Parts: sequence; structure tokens; C-alpha cells
Amino acid sequence: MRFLLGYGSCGIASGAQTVLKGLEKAFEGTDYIVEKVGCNGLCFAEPIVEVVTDSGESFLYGRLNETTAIELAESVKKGELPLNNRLSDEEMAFLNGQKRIVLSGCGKIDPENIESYIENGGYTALKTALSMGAEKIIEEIKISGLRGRGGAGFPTYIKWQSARNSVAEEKYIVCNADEGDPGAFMDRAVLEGDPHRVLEGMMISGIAVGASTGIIYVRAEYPLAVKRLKMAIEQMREKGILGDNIFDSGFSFDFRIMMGAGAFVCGEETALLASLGGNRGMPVTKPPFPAQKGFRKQPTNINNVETFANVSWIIENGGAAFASMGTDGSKGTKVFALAGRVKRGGLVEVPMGLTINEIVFDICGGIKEDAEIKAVQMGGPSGGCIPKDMLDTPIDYENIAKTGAIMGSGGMIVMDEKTCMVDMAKFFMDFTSKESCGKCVPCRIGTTRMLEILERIVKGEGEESDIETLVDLGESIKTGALCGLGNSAPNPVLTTIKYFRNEYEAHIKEKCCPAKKCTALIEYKIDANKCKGCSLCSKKCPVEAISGQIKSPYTIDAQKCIRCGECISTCKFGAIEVLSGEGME
Amino acid sequence: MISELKNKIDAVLLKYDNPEESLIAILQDVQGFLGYISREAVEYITEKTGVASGRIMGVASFYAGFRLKPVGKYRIMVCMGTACHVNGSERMGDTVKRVLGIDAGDVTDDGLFSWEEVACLGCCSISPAMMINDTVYGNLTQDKVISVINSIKEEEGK
Amino acid sequence: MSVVNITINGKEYSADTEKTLLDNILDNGIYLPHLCHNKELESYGGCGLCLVEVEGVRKPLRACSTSVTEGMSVKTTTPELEKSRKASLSLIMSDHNGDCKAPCFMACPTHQDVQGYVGLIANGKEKEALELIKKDNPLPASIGRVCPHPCEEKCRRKHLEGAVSICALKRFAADSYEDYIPECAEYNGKNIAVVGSGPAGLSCAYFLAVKGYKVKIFESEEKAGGMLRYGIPFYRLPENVIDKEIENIVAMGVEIEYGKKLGRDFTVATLKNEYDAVFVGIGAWRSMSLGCEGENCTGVTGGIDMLYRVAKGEKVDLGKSVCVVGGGNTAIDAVRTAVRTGAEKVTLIYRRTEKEMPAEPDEIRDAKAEGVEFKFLCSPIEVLSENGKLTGVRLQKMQLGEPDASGRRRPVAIEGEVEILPCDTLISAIGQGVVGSDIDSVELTKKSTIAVDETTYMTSVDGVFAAGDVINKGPDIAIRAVAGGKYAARSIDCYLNGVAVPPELPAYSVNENFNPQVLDGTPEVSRCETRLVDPEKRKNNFGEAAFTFTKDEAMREASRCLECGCSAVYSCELLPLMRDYDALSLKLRGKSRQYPKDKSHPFIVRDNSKCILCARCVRACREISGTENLGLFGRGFGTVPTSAFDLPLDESKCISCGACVSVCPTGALVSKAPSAKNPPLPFEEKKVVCSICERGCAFTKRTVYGVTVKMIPEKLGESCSLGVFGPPVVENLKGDESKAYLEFICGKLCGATDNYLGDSLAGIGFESLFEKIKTSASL
Repeated sequence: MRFLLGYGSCGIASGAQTVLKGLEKAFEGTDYIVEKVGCNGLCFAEPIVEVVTDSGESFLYGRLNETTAIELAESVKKGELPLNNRLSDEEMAFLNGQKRIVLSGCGKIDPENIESYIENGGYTALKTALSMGAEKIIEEIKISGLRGRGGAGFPTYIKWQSARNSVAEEKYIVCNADEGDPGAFMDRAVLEGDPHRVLEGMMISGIAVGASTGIIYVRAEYPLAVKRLKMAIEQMREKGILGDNIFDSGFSFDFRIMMGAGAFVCGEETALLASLGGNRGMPVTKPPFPAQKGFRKQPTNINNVETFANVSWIIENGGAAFASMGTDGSKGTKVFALAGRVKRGGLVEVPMGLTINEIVFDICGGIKEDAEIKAVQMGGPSGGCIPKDMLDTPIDYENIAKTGAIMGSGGMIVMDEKTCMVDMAKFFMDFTSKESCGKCVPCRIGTTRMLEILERIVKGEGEESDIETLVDLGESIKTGALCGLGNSAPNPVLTTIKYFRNEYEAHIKEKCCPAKKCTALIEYKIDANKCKGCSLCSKKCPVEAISGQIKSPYTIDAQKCIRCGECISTCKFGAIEVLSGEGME
Repeated sequence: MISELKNKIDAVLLKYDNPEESLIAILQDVQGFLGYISREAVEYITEKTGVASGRIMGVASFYAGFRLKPVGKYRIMVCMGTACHVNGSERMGDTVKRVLGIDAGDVTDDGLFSWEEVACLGCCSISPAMMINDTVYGNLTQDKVISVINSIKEEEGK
Repeated sequence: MSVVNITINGKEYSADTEKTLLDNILDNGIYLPHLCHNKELESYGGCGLCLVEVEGVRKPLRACSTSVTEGMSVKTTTPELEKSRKASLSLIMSDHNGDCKAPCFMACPTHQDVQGYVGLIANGKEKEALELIKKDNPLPASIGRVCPHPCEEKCRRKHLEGAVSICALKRFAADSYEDYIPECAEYNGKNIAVVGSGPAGLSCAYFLAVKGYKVKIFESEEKAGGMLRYGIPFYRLPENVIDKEIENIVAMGVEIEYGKKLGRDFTVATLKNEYDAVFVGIGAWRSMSLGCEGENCTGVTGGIDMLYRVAKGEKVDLGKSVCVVGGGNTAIDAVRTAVRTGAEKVTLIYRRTEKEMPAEPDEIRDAKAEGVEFKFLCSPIEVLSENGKLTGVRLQKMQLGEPDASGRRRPVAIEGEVEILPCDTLISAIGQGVVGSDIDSVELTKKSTIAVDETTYMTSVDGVFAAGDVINKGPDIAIRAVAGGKYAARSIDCYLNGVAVPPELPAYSVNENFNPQVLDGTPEVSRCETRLVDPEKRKNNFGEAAFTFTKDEAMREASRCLECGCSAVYSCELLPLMRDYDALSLKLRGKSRQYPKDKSHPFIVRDNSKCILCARCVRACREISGTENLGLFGRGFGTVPTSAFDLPLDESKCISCGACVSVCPTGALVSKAPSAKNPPLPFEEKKVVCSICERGCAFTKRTVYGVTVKMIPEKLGESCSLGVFGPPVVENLKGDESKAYLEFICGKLCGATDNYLGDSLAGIGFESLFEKIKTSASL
């Protein structure tokens, strides 16, 4: 019997360490071993232990702590599989509705042990690829229809072919692991949970392109991923899977890791290359493309983590098998990171072509507190908000683009009625304006000015012409910005204006925030009929804005109140109302 | 003190054969032991490698990961990612600010804490989240933020 | 190089594949806006102005970083591209925090180049200063004495110890070169009639004469000058000063016919028949009556009437006790004149307080020194008389209420509080009006003033123009009349040549978010006030009460100028684009980046508030000079080009090669000649070859009034700092001073790389170096 404990950074943050302590304490002196595996993507139930019986049956136990972990271990020692903390069938639908390629090893293998990867079929694709040769590899990738998973969806084989066609002494493979989209964490999960899959994909790309060096540009904010990548590379070297003349094939390859230093724009490939060269991460115009002139001015193939993680599967199972999944234009599967107001957030890998509704409701169980869904944000700061009545859109590159959003790296933030769309737009604009490299005018000043307008609107200082100014500026920035960051920066604003114009108008004309989120436009009030005078809220209030006599209704001083929401979460009687627009004093 | 700094930088520089290309890694290493990028460090790197200090400062000031002034012993990074935002990260930032009594980017007088707002930590499923040094704290509430900070203070005997 | 054929906007051209698409387009003589591109630097792609549509490419491309291929077809102007350019320029302007022209220039109704003439005075060139003044103001000696100087109101030095004494400096320049007459164009065959020889008429005549028109002025009085002569007492503006200025205008060919009055001797209609155009500037000569009971008795007079009689030399006896009602400059002129006629007790009555008085504070101060009493918060309600002769005035006491439309607090009567002030003369100085009955043909306003178009100054009658106190809102300060005359003359010229009248002021960048903190650290120099004749010595005569600055005073005061106007205004690449695309019309607001000017370097001034982040300087510092001293710091909106640790330039690793200055498209990096001030003035340029060493670098030499102010190398990075900065040093400074500067440059040269000479200077003494530079600059 095996015990697989999810030990990714989010698992650890949720308490996986104490669970491990509990299990190890309980198993002391027995033969049971707890294996630390990567995140299996069921983030909503962390910390998680998967119990695999000798007959291969698997049971998931979630939301564990030290005590419940010990209880679980004690039961197992008695030969029982308890029902306590076991995930329900409904919750298991999260996993059962998925088709996992990229995530197939996450939560299954021990990322700190290369043997675990090899036992699960690792590095056979590399051997196959070595025997296939470059042209055949590229042909297979072409048949698979694999497109870049980093956002733009550029056909992978064209990049490879183009880098292969560039004549040079030295070529490079670069893995873009600078996952910076707020709300996306699939790359982190893969790097932490199954690093070899990415490294293998890069090596196969190296064979195809004719490169012998792979560079992984990974966020410094992902220390665990860096650590596991380093371990993986060390173990590969020990195993002879790395270095000169691998498997006696004549193919040589080696890896370098470079840690990003905190700049979202480095996700843009020319900026990433500048950063690799020790420079400020400022994009340059294309052409020349990196495939012609990249790192050290040599041909360089850049793909992101998820793209590389698909490669070994395609080589092993054939491009046609991959292409049999998905839609006409978008083949294979895609990993989505679900977060926000969704009931079961986590990583979902499904074939392209499912609708957003299917993912949110069938797989992730719908909205928290069964609230009404309002929109789904896709593509992060470069993407857009897709409204409720368009959530039947099948997910592929083209259809998502038609909504004004983009596929992006696959972050999906689910929003309910409590989310203010103007505030959302402001949030993303704040992000892009801070992350703008400062090189081109439209992005550097344009995003700043758009942000300032949005800040005015949420403060209730908007003017009627602001919406048109936002649209005009947004369109000009899209045309005039130098790189992808700027070209797409206005999307969150433009899509929210397109689908939620009424919310903008409410903020501007009525000085009202329909979602009751924008603090300058809301007011807290205690419903005297509901208030029991328990004084809890008054004690909790950080700014002493609530006063009253025990056992009679309390009142809030609107001047002092900072609208932090502490009273609302404290009140057991639902006595605190939030007002916006009408009824405000 | 200065010579100790120089020795440490010398050791870092030995690791890299192309200082210009490895500038970011060098700065990361220097920040690793110094806590930030100081003017003395930059001038010494220039002296040893010939990489212009203008260039070094250009790089150091571009990336959010580099700090040009010292940080606290405990560096609190409040995640401002989308999921965290939707779930109230602004309030978490406000709480940290209130408890520590300092603005983002500043250090408490005792040198114990500094805090900053950072880009997505990739822990969206346990949002709102913050990271203190290398440890992630998730599913934050204002209470939890206060108790985490207080427990560090207790540990430090303050 | 290989040549390919490309199509630009539908026409075929040949293109060089080694050059970018932008350079090919420009080399083919097609205009394509660009700001960050410079031929000698690697392309950057920052400004986004050179976007073009390339056939077969979905998105617009930046021409500066696109290479040309055979058969390529591009469009440089489409509605989408133009919209994008306008947006980019509007965004640039929203964070270009500079003043093309100084606030003083913007505030002056005639838009005189204040910074220019103040700078020239500071450099000891008052004659050149006067020539410059006279381009915009024909009466500087008079205006320099009487102007309430709105320019000083806007002077940024006000944030420090006080405004620069601009008005007094103008007087200084005018007095030191009173014979100057500008060159006039040859007679163009057209004749203009000007009615009235006040500031508006004289100004209009002057500017028309400069343009080659023959002008005849009709003046009803025996002497010219209008209000300047008859409305302003001689102790402020002596008769000989105004005489001299009129004499100069007559010397330009302007004819004045005296004793001819509109409405009596001729009409607008008759002039219109005889002349190509008519200008009316007859002023506003009617004193407003007090409007209270009993004022039609002897002893009550209008302020302007009294001043007129005194100016004419009439014997005026005001009695012992004189009351003047009003708070403006005419009221002050009246009380001070009353003192000089021998009145023993002179009282000024004003219904608000001193704070609200429209008169100049200096004038109030001087009147007080001469013994004038001020009675505030009082308003006359009844004139008292016996036998038709004035005995006194009954005053209603007032208090201040809510602010009125002008923002001043409105005086409100305190019921029942009245007092009686006995007096021998009561003078009403509460404003003037136009005597409309003299005017024929043209449409008048309700106030009997002539209605004119605000841009063209044309009346309702084609070819008849008017300006000064007689138009629209009525009386205003003298300089506005001068401005009216000037712009009306320009309009007449346009009218007679059948072209549209341009706006008085073309569009300029104005730093609306000016942050006074950027002035921190400016050395304190107190304002030099005009010296006055002792009150006891001046109060019994009409001799001039104030002195002209001495040259020392003037130079010291002029050196206080903060030089707010951009010294690159005549070479700026952004300004014409801003105008072409009307980039101020979008009115984008928001935060702006303001930095203190870095004046530490002897030859370079850095003003990052104006920086548009094109990064030309940064690229030049890396690619041309190789020093990488300037770099980009920070990111996003707050990015700033500066040296490491933000050091002042002279403490940084700058080698003074000047490449950054040569490439800066705006005024963020400008060269300064080592003189006291570097006023931005129209310049002349000439190609020269430097002869300091045998290399013989080609330069464009820029001169202002014949003095070299800037040397622009033809090829970046090939010329040394001695060639770039040497000639301005030698020409602007005397031997010893310039030696110190040259030593500085040579110090930089010795530390420089092989790009620069160094050895070739070794062993040369300063004497011969000096000579070499001099020869070089004069070539």
C-alpha cells in the first residue's frame, strides 16, 4: 500500500508538513512509507493524501491535519480504509472529468526521485526521439497540432522548424517558466510535481532543433520548483541522461537554470532573451525572431513549460493520438487553473473544446455558496472577462479570442455578483502599468492614464466621457504598443466595457457600485431589527467605528468606517448591510 | 566590514565566467547574503568586472526582485494576484500595514519586519496568501495575519 | 548594399536593404513622424510614431525596426495610423513637463521674449536685449515705466524670494539704447490710416511700418501718446521719454497729423474710401460718474479729466483738501498728482480694503509715503454742496460680504453708519468709458465700445480694425493696447494679402503641474528693487520718481532668471509634431514626473522633467561614447535616464563628449554656453570644419547674435569635447575664465578613450590652444 502526500508549495502552505509529521509518527516502526509527491491539482482539498491499495485502487483523503492524519494512519494499520475525510464522489468528479497528459505525473510520482519518473515510463520518449531524428520529430509535432501553451498559441512545429533551419554553430532551447499571470499556477505545479517531463520535452526539442543547451528561465518566486529542477538535473547527470553522447546516440545536451528577478514582461520572449543576456528585460521588435537571432544572437527555440510537458506524450503516443483530442484548430488538452469564487478550485486538464460552463459547473462544482456566476476572467492581465451568457463558448484559441479574451496560459478566475467589474479592470490595469517595461509610449503612459481614469471612476469621480476615452486609448495602445504585454493590456478594460458597460455607468452617473465593492461608493449600516446588541462587531472593528449599548442595536460611524468587512464576517445575525448609491447618507 | 563584503563578492564572481551575461545571477547572489543591493557592492562589482555601474543599476532597478535598500529580518510579501484580490488581499495589506505601522517598502525601526505587495505567488487556490521569507501562508483572514505576525514577534522576544 | 524596389503610398521607389524602412522612407523625401529614431543609433521602437502598414502584415509595423524587401508595399498614412500617432503624441505630451516658453512670455499680452531679453541683459548685452524687445513692443521705455507687469505675477522666482524685476529690466534696456530703430521693409504700395496715437495706434503703426506699409496717424491732440501722455502723470512717465519713442516711430516713416478728430474732421467711412485699411484706437476718455446725488456741482471732476489738464500744463487748483474715489491705478495717479498740485490733505476713498485694491502695491506704497491718506470700506452716497460749490461728501460705511464674480469679497453697506468728509475737490476715478458718439459706420457694443473679432481685431466693417481701450470690454492696461495694435497690424497684413489670421499664440507645451519643490537648492538672491527719489523730494514736483537700474543692478537682477522657457524651443523635434497632431486637444490628465534640473555640468543642462524616454541619450552614451554612464533606471512610468546612483552629471562618469546633447530630441539635455544665461533665441547655423587638430571634424556651428552657442558634430562620436564645447567657451568668456573651462575639458579628454584626440593636444600651451579654437570657431 502506498501513501502519496501532496507536497507542493500550496500543499505545504496548507499544512502538508504537519500531516506528514502525523503520518510518520503513526507509522513509526511499520513498513508504511509516505511518498512526497507534487500537487495533484485538487487544491480545494489540500492537504491531500492518496492511498493506493496493493490492488491498485486509489482513495483520496483531503483537508487533513495532524490529528486526522494520525486517525487515518491508525485505521490503515488496522487494515481499514475509513470514510472520514475521504473525498466524496461529487468531489471526485473534479478528477474524473479530466484527461491528464501534462499533469499525468503530478501527484503520482516523487519529483525528487528520477527513478519514480522512469518507473512511470519516463525518458522512453527521449530514446524514441533519438531514433526518430529531427525531421520526424518535427513532423510528429506538426501532426499533433500542438500550439504554444504560453498564450499566443503559435504552432509549435513552425518555431522548431524555423530554429532548425537557421544555420549556426550553437543553438539554444529555452523554457519559459516565468509564469507571471496572476491567477495561473499550472507551470509551478508541473515544475514542482513532475520536473523531468519538462526537461525531457526540452531535450526532444533540442534534438529537433539541433541545440545542445537548454536554459530554464524560472521565477525566483518558485523556490521549490527551482530546487526540484536542480535535483532533477543532478540525477539525470548521474544517470547519464545528460551530458555528452547521451545513450550513445551522439546527441549531447546540458541544462542551465536562470532565475528570473521579478518582471512580468520577461514572459515576452524577446524580453526574456534580454534578461538571459543580463540586461533589463525590455522587449525588442520582431523580426528577427528568436528562432533566427536569440540568446547570444544564436537561433533559439523558446516554449513554455506546458508546451514542453506535452512533447514526450506526443512522441510516445504519436501526433495523431494527440490530434484526436480537441477541436479542429486547437488540438490536445489544456491545463486550466481555476480560482476565485469557484467551489472547487485547482488544476483542471481537459481536451480543448469543452465549454467554460462544463469546466466551472461539471468539474469544479459551481460557485461558492451557490451564488450566481457573473463572469469568468481568462488570460489574466492580457485577457478579458467573459460574461455569464457567453460561458457556453467552447474553449479553443479562436473562440476565446472572439470574445475579446485570450486563452493565455490558462488562468480562469471565476467571479460572482460580489465582484465589481470596474474594480477588476482597475486591478489588471494596475498590474500591467506596474509591469510595463517603460520602453514604448503607448504602454508606458497609456496604461498609466487608463489606470488613473479607472481610479477616478471607482472613487466616484468619473466623468461621462471617461468610457469613450478608455475605449479610444485602449484601441490606440493595442495598435501602437511594442510587445504583447502592451498590445493586450487594454483587453480587461475593453471587455468589461463591452459586456458590463452598465456597471461603469452606475459608477459614473449614479456614484454607485452595483457589486458593493468599491469602498468609496459604499456604506455599512447596521439593521437595527436584526442587531441583537452582542457587541462582537464593535470589539472586532479595527478603527473603533462601531458603538452602542449591550443588548440594544449598535451603529456604525460612516466617517470612521474603513469598510474592511470585519464586522460582516463577525456578525452572526447578518445584521450588517452594505449600501451603495440609493439609500446612502 | 567592507573587506568582508569584498571577499564575499569575490567568491560570487568566481562562479561566473561571463559577468556581463550573468549580471542578474551575480546580483541575486549578492542580495542573497547582503539582503539588498548596496552602492558599495555595485561599485565593487564594477571595479572587479568592468561592467559599468550605470548598467548594473539599470538592471537592479528594473526587476522587482532586487531591493536597493535593506529589508527586515522577516520580509512579508502580500500577494496581489487576481485570486487574492478577488478574495480580499487589499485588506490583508492594510492589516499588515496597520499592525506594523509602516508603509509598503519600509522597514520597522527594530529591523525585524518589512513588507511589500508582490505579484502572484502562484498559490491562488489558498488565496488570499502571503509569504514571509520562504514560507507561504494561505487562506488568510485579518485575524490570521495578526496572529502570524504576533507569533513571530513572540519568538523574537519582542 | 543592395537595391530593391518598394512601393510607398502607391508610388514606386528604390530602397537600400542595409537601411531600415524608416530611413528609406525619409531618404526618399517622404515625411514620417519619428522621435526615438536616430540614424546613428541602433533602432529602439519606443515612440511608436513611425508605424506603417505593410501589405500582407496584419498589424502595423514600426518602420524604424523593419527591413526592406523586394516588392514590399507600405502605407504611411491611414486613418488608423494617424489616430494611433495622435494618441501616442497626446500621451507623450501628458507627461512632458516642460514649458516651451516661460510663464512670463505666456502671461504678457504682447508675448515678448522676456527670458530672451533678461538673459541678454544678464550676459551684458542690453543693446541686443532692446533689439529683441522691439520685435514685440515698440514702446519699451514707456511700458517699462508704467506696466503693471502681469509677467512678474507668473514669474516662478515668486516661489523663492520674489519675482524677477522684469519691468524694470525692460526700462533699463530701453534707456540704454534709446535710438534703436528696427529695419523696415521697402514700401509695399499700401497705405493705412490709424486713428489715435495712443499705445494701440502707435503700436499698430510701428508694426505696419516694419512690414513696409505707409501709415498716417490722425491725432486730435497737439501731441501724440494718448493715455500714455495725458493719462499717466509725468513723475511716472516723463514727457521726454514718450517724445523719444514717438520720434523713433516717426523716423520709421510714420506720419502723424495733429489736431484731427474723428467725428469732427473726418469719419471712419471717409478714411475707408481713401486707405487700404483703417485702424481705430481712440481710447476711452470719459470718466465714469459717481452716480450719487448732488455730483453735478463745481469741485467734482473725473480722474482722467484732472490728469489730462495737468498733463496739458493747465493751471489746476484743487484746493487744500482733495478726495479721490476709486481703487485702481488711475485713482493712485490722481491722489499723487493732487499731492503735487499742492493739496494739503489728499484722501483716497475705497469701498473695499487695501487687499482688494486693483492698484499696484508699489504704487500704493509710494502714495502712502507721499502722505496720501487711505479711507477703506467707505462709499460716497451724496455729494454735499453750498451754492453749487462742493463742500464735502457723505460716506456710507461698508463691510466685506461674500465673494463676487471676480472672487473679491463684495462690499456691503452697514446700515445707519455714515460719515461726512469735507473737501474742496472730489475726483471720481472709478473707471472710464468710450465716447461712442464720435464713431461712425462700425457696430458698437452695449458699452459703446467698438465690437471687434477677438482674433482678427476686425470691426463689423470689412477692412476696418480697432484695438486698445476702445474695443469690446473697454479700458485695460497699456500693454494690452500695445498687444492689440501689434496683433491688429498682423491681421491687417493678413487681410491685405488674403491669408487667414493665425492665433496670437501658437500651441506650446505648458507645465501645468509645476512643482515648486524642483526649485529647492536654488541659491538665494534677493530681488533688486527700483530705487526711488526720496518722498519729501519728489512730492512737490513732477520730476521722475523712480530711477533706471544701473548696469550692475540690471545684470545682477537679470541673473536671477530661472530660465523656465525651454532652450531647445527652436530646435525641438516634439513641438512641431505636437502642433501637427493637435496633441494637446485630448486633455489627458494624470500624474507627471518632475525632477529638479541638473545644472552641475559646465556644458550640459539636464532637465528630466522634459524627457520623453526615447532613450537616444542612453543609446548614444553606450553606442557612441562607450561609457554607459547614462542608463535607464526603474521601469514603467517612473523610468528615468540618469547616471548610476542618480549622481549629478559632473560627479558621474560623464566624459563630456556631448553625444547625448546632440541626439536629444527635446530640451531634456541641452548644451549651455558658459555665459551667465543661455537664453533661447532664434539662431543661425553654418557648416564649419574644426581646425583645432589635424582631424578636421565637420560641425554645424550655431550662433546667436553672432556668438557661437553650440557646435553640432556632423558625425556623432568622432569629434572631441574640445571641438564641441571649446568655441562657445572661448567666445563667451574672457581669457582667464575660459582657461578654467578649457582645463576642465582637457582633463576629460586625457581620461577619454582612443575615440578622442588627446595626444594631439599634448604639449600645446593654453595660449596657442586658445588661438586655435578661436580660428576654428571663426571659420
